[in-house]
Amino acid sequence: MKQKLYLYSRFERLWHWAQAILIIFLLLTGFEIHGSLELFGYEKAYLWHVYAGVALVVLTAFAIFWHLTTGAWRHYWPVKEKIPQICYYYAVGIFRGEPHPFEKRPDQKLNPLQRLAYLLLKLILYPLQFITAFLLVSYQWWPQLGIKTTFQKVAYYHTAGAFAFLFFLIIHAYLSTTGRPWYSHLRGIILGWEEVGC
Amino acid sequence: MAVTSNWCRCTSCHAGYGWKDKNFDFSEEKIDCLVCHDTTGTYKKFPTDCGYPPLKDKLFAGKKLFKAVNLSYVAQHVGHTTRESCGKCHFYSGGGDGVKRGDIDSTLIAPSKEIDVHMDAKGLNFTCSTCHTTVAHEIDGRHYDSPAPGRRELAFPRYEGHRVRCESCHGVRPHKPSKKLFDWRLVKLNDHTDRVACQTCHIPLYARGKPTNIYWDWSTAGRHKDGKPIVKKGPFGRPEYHTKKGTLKWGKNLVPVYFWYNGTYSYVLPGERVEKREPVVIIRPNGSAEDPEARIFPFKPHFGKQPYDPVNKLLIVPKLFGPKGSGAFWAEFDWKKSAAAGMAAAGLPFSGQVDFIETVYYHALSHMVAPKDKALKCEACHIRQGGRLANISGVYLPGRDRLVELDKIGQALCLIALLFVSVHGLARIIISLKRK
Amino acid sequence: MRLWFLSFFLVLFLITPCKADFVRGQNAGAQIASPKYFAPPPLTADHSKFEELKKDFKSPEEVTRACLKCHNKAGEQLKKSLHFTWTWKGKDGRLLGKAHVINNY
Repeated sequence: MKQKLYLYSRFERLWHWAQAILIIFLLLTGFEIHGSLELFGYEKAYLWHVYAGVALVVLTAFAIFWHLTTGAWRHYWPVKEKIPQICYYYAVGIFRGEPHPFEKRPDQKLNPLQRLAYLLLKLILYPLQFITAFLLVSYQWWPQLGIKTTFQKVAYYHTAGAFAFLFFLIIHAYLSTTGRPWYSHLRGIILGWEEVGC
Repeated sequence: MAVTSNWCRCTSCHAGYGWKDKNFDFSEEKIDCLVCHDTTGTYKKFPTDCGYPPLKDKLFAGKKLFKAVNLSYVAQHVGHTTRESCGKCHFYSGGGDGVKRGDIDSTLIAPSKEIDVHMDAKGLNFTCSTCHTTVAHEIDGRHYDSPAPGRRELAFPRYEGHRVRCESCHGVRPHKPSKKLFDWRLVKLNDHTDRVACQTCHIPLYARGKPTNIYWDWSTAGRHKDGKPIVKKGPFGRPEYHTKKGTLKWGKNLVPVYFWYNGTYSYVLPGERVEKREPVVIIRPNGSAEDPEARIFPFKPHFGKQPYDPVNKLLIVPKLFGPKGSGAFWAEFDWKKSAAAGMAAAGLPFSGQVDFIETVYYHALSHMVAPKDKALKCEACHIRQGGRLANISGVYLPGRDRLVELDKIGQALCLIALLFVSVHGLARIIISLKRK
Repeated sequence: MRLWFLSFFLVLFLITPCKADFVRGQNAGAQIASPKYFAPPPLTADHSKFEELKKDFKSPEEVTRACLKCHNKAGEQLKKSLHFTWTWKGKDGRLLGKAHVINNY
């Protein structure tokens, strides 16, 4: 029995895609600053990286506000149940045509694995990148701010964070194609409405 | 090579008269006022007369005519120093136009903006002393082991008005928006000034006016052809080989080398033992990343090969200039006699043996600031390999530096993820096709 | 309120980029028009009018003596200067300066 559910509100969709574009752009410009790519030229890459970073911070601030005021933060509260079943599904069940062990509902639209992944992303990776980015930009004021570290160390952490983002991006983009039909999740996050059930 | 034992040739650029040996009388009347304060351009010291100007018409080296100086005329037309009066000596150091410095030469008498934005004859028209602030004949600049004064402040009276550093006028955050009050894009450029000297980006090339000497091998000097000295002209019209000087190499529009530099040099002096670990750095810029006063600075390297006493392990001070019978190399072309005469004059021991040793010295580049659109772009240094600061250590240079292990782990993880999702996806496609 | 206005204008004044093109004197005329930035100040003497300099000098030392007659502190100043001594006492006590160092030339 299939039913169409309105899972992602307009703000969530806007937030998601803006984040997606910004993060991909930050990865491209960031790895150019890192010396791994040559795309825009160093000066442009640097400036655009900073602009995009600031934009992401602003967007994140709005998103935090939105999640707190709407109570949507509860979607990210980690739960234990069904994690082994979901792992089993992606390893075996998906090939056998079995149904996904987790059923999306408007009040719990993220599966436990997603909850965990996004929570880690928001609690660890975002703060890591924001803090290291702030440090890298403000290194001239470290003495006044009482910060004792080296630019090199901070740059290493920022690079590590970038690789983590890239890693997440690959897995996340792939998993978005695992709906039935393959584009159903994608359509959901674009239009808001997703067909759930089988 | 040194001034000692070659006085009358070298002291032709001394602001005095008659320094012909080490017993020069440094009294007031021996001061040469006119060499600096002449505004007529007619006052020229004769190249071999110990600092005296020619009072009769005289030929130098049988070719170049030096006209008699009209002392009364020059004395009646004294004034402030000019680019030309300072340049009479400083443009020609090393024995010719632009030979030694690479960042000052005779094009600065009336340079274009392209050559020097500050001295631009049609623009700002700075003289030397505009920056080399002079009070009571004390001229600002780097003096051997003392950095140029002024620190990194502004040239306000309370900083004693020294204007010799770029920061003296431009400040420590020198890039300012021309139309707006604030420009985001300049923030990072200005951040560079804590570790990178202005000169590093704004003097992208040196020897932009005249060719400069970059290599001087004295060991080949003294060859003759049919009993006559040889002068073989090379590129730029400068000698590749000169019997008096040896083998020479010249360059124009050259890329500097970069070092940490706190405004002071270390010198190897005659009489100080040097091992033949080639090349010997006889003049070395001081500084390191740990030194808060040091910044990355551009230098002209000069490579040489000069006489060396392998027994006493001393650089030889040879007597080059002098009459026949004095031991002067330029008269007798015998390094042993020249070394014996020179070392005796310098009061240093000489074993009788002459070897040659490779030497290098570095000359800080501070002049001929190029227009801002010619300044180095980010990629000149922020590049993985082959950047201008490839050999600068002690700073993390984004684009050049990385933690190789971190990059490898990160790349490996991302590749594994990519591989994994590809295989997973492929399997899904195959299975779904089979099912159909 | 008035204090607020005052501080507003104070801040405005402080952030306005300082340009050194204000008029320095009322009757300096041509002298302000041409020199920009730190051009050498105009001379206050025409040396061709001095009787001491209209002589037929036999040696450059005579010229120096004539200069020092008026510029009577210049000799002492220059005697200490690097341009004349070619000697610089290093911080470690070694004698540096053109008369003491060596190079490749």
